[in-house]
Amino acid sequence: MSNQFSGVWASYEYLDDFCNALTELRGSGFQRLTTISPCPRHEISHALGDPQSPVPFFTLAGMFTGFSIALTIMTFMTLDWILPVSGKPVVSYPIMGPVLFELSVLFSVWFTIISLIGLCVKDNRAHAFPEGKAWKDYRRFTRDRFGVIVPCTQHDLDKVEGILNKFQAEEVNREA
Amino acid sequence: MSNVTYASINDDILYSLRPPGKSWFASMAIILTMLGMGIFAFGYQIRHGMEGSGINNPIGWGVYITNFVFWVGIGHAGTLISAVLYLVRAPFRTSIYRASEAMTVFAVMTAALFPLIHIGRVWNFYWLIPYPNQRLLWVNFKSPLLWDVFAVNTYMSVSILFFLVGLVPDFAVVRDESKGLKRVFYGIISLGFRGTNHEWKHYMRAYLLFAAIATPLVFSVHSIVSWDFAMSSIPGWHTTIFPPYFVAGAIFSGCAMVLTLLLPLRAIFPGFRDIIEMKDMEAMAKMILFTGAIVTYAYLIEFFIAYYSGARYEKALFWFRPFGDLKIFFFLMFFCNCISPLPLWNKKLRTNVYALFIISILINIGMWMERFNIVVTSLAHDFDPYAWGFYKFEWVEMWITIGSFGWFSMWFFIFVKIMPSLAVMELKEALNPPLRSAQHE
Amino acid sequence: MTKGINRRDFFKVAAVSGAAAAVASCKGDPVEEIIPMLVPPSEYVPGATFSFATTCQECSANCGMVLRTREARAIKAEGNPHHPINQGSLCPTGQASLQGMYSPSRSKGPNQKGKAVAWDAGIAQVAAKVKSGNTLYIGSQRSGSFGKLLKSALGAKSDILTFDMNPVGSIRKGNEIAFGTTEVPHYAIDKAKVLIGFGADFMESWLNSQMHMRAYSSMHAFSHGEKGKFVHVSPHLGLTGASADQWVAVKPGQETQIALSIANQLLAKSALSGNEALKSYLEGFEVETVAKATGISAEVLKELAMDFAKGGESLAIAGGPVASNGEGTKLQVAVNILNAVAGNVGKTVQFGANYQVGGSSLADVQAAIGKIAKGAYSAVIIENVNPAYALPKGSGFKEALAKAPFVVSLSTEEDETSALAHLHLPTSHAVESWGDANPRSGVFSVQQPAMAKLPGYDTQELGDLLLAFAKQQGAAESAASYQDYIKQAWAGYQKDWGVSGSFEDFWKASLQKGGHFGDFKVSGATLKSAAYSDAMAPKLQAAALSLVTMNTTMHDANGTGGNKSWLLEIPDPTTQLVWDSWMEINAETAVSLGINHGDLVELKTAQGTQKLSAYVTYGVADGVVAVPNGLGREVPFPTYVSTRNKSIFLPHVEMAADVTIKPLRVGERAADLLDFTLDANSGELVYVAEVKSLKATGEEAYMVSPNGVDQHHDIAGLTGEYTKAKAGDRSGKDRGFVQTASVEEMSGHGHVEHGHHLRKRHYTTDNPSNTDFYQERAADVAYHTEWSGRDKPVYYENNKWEMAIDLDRCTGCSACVVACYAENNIPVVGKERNLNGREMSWLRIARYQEPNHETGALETYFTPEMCGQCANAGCEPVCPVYATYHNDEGINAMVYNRCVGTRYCLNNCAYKQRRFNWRTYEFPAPLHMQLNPGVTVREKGVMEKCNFCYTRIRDVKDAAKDQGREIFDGEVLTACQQTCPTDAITFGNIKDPKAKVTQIKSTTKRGYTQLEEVNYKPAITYLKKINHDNRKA
Repeated sequence: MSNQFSGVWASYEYLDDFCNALTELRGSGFQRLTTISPCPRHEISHALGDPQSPVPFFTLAGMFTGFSIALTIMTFMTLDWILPVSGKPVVSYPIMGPVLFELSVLFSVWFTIISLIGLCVKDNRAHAFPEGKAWKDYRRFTRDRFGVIVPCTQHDLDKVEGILNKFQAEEVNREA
Repeated sequence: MSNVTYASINDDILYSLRPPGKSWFASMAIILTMLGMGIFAFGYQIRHGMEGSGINNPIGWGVYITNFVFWVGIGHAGTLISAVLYLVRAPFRTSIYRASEAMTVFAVMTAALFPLIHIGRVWNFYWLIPYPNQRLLWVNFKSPLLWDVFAVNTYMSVSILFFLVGLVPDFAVVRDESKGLKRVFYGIISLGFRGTNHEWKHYMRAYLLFAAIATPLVFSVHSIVSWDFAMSSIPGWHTTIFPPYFVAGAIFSGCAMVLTLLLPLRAIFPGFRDIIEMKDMEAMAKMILFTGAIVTYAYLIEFFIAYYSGARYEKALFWFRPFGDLKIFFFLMFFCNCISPLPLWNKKLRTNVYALFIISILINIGMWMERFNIVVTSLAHDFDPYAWGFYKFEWVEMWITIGSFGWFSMWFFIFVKIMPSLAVMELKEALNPPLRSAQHE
Repeated sequence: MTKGINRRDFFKVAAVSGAAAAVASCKGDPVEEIIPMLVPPSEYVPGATFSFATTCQECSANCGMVLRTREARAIKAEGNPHHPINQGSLCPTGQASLQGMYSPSRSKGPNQKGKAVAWDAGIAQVAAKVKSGNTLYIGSQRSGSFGKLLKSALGAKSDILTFDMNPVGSIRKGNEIAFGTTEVPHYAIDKAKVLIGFGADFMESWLNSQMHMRAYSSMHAFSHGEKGKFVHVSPHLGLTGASADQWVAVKPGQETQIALSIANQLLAKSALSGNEALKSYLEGFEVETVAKATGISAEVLKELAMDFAKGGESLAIAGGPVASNGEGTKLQVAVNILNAVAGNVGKTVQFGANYQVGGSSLADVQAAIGKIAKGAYSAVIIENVNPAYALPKGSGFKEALAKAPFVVSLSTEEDETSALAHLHLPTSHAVESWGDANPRSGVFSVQQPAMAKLPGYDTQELGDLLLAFAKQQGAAESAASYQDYIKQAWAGYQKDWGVSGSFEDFWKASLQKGGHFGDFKVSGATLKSAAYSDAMAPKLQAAALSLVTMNTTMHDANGTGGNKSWLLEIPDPTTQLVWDSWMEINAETAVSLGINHGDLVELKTAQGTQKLSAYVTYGVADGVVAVPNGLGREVPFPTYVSTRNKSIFLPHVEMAADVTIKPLRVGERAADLLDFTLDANSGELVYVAEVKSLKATGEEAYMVSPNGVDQHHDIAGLTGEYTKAKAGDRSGKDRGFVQTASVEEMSGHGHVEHGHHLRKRHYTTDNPSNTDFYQERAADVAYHTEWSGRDKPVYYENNKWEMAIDLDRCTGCSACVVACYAENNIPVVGKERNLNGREMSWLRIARYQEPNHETGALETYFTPEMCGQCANAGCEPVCPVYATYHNDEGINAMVYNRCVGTRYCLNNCAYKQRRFNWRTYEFPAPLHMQLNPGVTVREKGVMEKCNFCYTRIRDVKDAAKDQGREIFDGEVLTACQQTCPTDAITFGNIKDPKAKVTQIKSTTKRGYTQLEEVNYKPAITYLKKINHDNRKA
């Protein structure tokens, strides 16, 4: 969506500071926040208001797809060329159990993966990221720092910076 | 874990990714030789037929299927630990699950080779896959072997995906900790993962679902493998106890294998010691005690049922196992699986690295013997006395077995060097986060 | 995207590995011409089977034989159903004649010590020698027109001997002494109610096994509530004794006393009771004295006498190597007395048949050998007999032959004797030659070539060769070829028999029928006083430990079968051993000598020492050890890689793409243990010797048997202490592979509940009947075909093939197994692969030994076991690729091309009737020409099994379709059924209510299926073995 980023990003050493900053920012009307953290923390998602992921629906869809595909191929294939074996009915349902289960699992897993990737890409593109050199060289978010990106207009920059520094941000960078 | 911080975790774990040393290359050379032996033997078998293995007329399945079940069994602990223990939030999971998951993936990759190796005309293996073909022939869904095809393939792809999904954030870590070509490489395989809240949101959800799906899968796969036997009519195979018995056995052997792999890993990379703590190893030992008890129970109850059912053939077979020509395998199995874990009841031994290591090795041997017992002795002594048989090992199957260990170790050695052997992200998650409030106290 | 492996990569990998596998597998697969000859003969029609009626020349019994040919190549030898002697069946040796025909050890052409010579030169050379002086001709026994030609070919100065090791001479001599005729009469076993055999192994080698087994089955098989009784009196049980109701185990030589004591008991009531001399002679053989002398209880002797008194409806027979103990003639005389006393002569002992069996007496041979050594002969001609192998060293045959100035061999094969010849003019095999035979008076059978001469083998027919000799002698032979000669002879016969019509018609008819068959006039005979002179009284005292060498089902003392791989691969029925000779030793004796089953023992007689594997059994009398004849020959056999006694960690690699054929020595030559002593009266070889020493070497013998029970050494029980109760397989118990009932039980009275352990089954089942089951299946298929909108397949529309096997008829002779090998291109795998459980036989004669706890006897049972084509098969559902499925005629079809070789079907077969191709097996040339084009030759990695000879079913179906009719019952014969001399196997369409198999299955009270509780519903119903009040040998 928005390709030209304008706003502030900051890094924090301590989680509690970070979360307070987030709450404050959201309190003062900055909703479209992007946080970066070495690992997922409930505190952060609380501070962001526990957004939910739609992944499970894809998983469920995958399961149904797998199940019905398994059922179809097994029935079709046994009827396509009828080769009776021992006392079993040509189309026998009990024997389908394992394959039904396995294919359901297989498809649900693939659906989950694909949806996961798709959703991540979608959300990341929905939010703008800084392009500055400082940002590009900053590597500690995957190590031990918490980061927040606040997109905002020119005249909000000071306000945002104020909030961020109020909670002892380690460093604050503005891009406009 | 007091002295452990987010940063130290990174340093400790990435320590294992430094360029390999002499010892690594030396062991890799040995491993590749083993693998070479296996490949040569397999080629010979393709050229000259199945004669190089001990399988014979009554005993149609031998070492190959034994290996298959053995490796699939090993392949279970990984997913069990990473999925089941994830759901039940077991504390000792995080430190060991990455390595054990790797073990799972590689073990299943090894196991998946054996159905191909053991079939008589391996060049036609693809006939086992239901694909549209000009012969208009489909596969027989009534055959447990085909269930196997689906079960193993599903399990393999799911465990591989689960493994990789877990790895992506850690690849990102490695990317940011490294520069140059390495950074590019990890940048690609980390798929540009940044750790934004959006990513974490979907990621955590998906991961949970993965665990939820993988859990029944763990139990289903080995049940289906056990149905290869239970669905037949042969005394010693045709048993309802098999699925739980096999699953327990699988976890049993899996946990043993985890120990066999992690204890050396701990020794080699000192940084791991304060992450993989003794109590995690101890927890594994407890798992072994528990599943070992189940397995022992299964052994005994099989004998009781054979006696109590009054079924001639069953009785004869279970008389044959401990007293017949192949009794050595039975007693090896019984000692390794039922007797050797008992010392673990003692806390001292349970927390002693050497004791744990030796016992885990013994259990690995024992579980191989168990599978051999089930597969071979049952066939050697079934209904028709005229068709009773005897099993004699041959060199091809020996070499292929050696090769399979080479194959497995090769992957594991590569894994240790290119992937974080411990789950960086989850370890951090398990850690108390850095809090300013904590600083003031 | 983080997929583990994406589609494109997968295909790459699959392609590469697939290609690799393909390359590896294809390389070096042999490419073969399907039709080897340049100019096909007139009958040649691709895919069509032609049969030629001819005569079997494997032994002097001259059974009628039908040669099936495909693509103008003989592929199978079967019995001629029209022939009165064997009536359609053929013994293993006869069927293996094809392996003689295609033998890799056949001589390629005329040669002088290996140096090739031209035929004319060779013939001229021989003719010159024959002219120059006396000639000795040693050949195989050939009745019919041959003898006359032979005489004219060799001139008056020549001695002509026929060579046959089987001791028929004692029968002739005994009859001469007792009845004044040297003929071999017709022993009408089928007319007897009680049969006592004194060593006569009529199921192995005695006179004519086929004829006698057939007669035996009609006398002994259970029908209409009764069956005959057969008692075997002999030191060795053997196949014949194994199917007897009672076995009287005696020491060698005691048979005679027993025969006479029975005669003694019967004399009072017999027609000869007036004969004082006979009376006084027999008084020497009172029951008590004989009982004391032989150790056989008086009760047994009395019982025998009681049974035998049937007023002419009993029969005693004697003979065979085991009875040829130096008093063979005396035994025969005694038996003649017994028959005379019982009034059997003229009733069950029918003179006038005059069977042309056996050869010249060995006394004459001995004399001839002496003359050779003295240089009395300018030429010695040896034709298709092998004295150098068969005669004991003591005969000095080889040494004598070395002295002979000129030795010619006319043998087809390069054998031990032809190796000693100066000149070898190989004659064509009987299958390629003309001839005729006159096996008994009234039976004249023709022998015609079934195919052109084997390509690459420069041979001449024996007849033509002799004609050439004769012409060289200047004899006036008008015939251009032996074929003409035979025709001329038969033109003469036509007049003698007064057959009307043109000769051509008569000739054609005879060729089609296989000969001209009439009956013979039965005449009796009167007992001569010489028979009960003291000279005929038994004197022989058996040694403390004596050796008998016996003929087995597969091999006799002539050793013709000793180099035929079928006869070596197929287990000897009674011991189930393959590819070796062995030493049967009685368990008590074994214990006293400290010998265990499977030990390698050193057997020492005055003549020689041999290392043999000890087979501990109760099938041989105490104080007797038995060794089989006819082994110890060299067999050309593919040298497969061997891993025996080699490390399992080191590779044993087979480099060559194809396996080379190397000679392989099989077993020991029993004759080396024998002295060349002859029966004083008949001049037959004595097959009994004293054992000087017998001790275990401490090594384990390399004794191989496909019988899983033997591998487990179960014959000794778990403890290794031999008692009858512990011996046996400890196997059939309650598993009911063989089930028995007693005559009394079948006829209603007689208690069922407590009884023979084989009779009570552990399980009781109430499964739906096979019929209900397969009809249900057919309905299910119909439903699904409709669902899928098709009209095919329709199941069990006209045919559902099923089989019934009567265990009361089966004697375990294993002829069916040979037939199966021949019909289905079953590879011979050799000793080591048998040891490793890799035998490929689709049909096995399983032997079960069971201690009978009521009589204390150890009973032997045989059951032919093949794939049962189970309606509810275990093998079918487990195959992941439908390589085996149930076809619409109830056959458990095996699709070789679809098989990937998971071997799950083998594992899940409760009967273990499937065979896996562990490698691509070799058929050493020219044996590969015997392969049946109608049956696929399987490659490595493929599963195979019996399919009720589906090719034969197809052939018949096609024929019926061409003629626009249904198949009629009995038209389809499976190979095993076709060759069964006792008609134990019945096969047919169960949907046809009139079919014999349907009749049997619906009416019998003896039917059962093996492992009924497993509920596989095999199509084979076995009929229980019936014993006389639960007693059996």
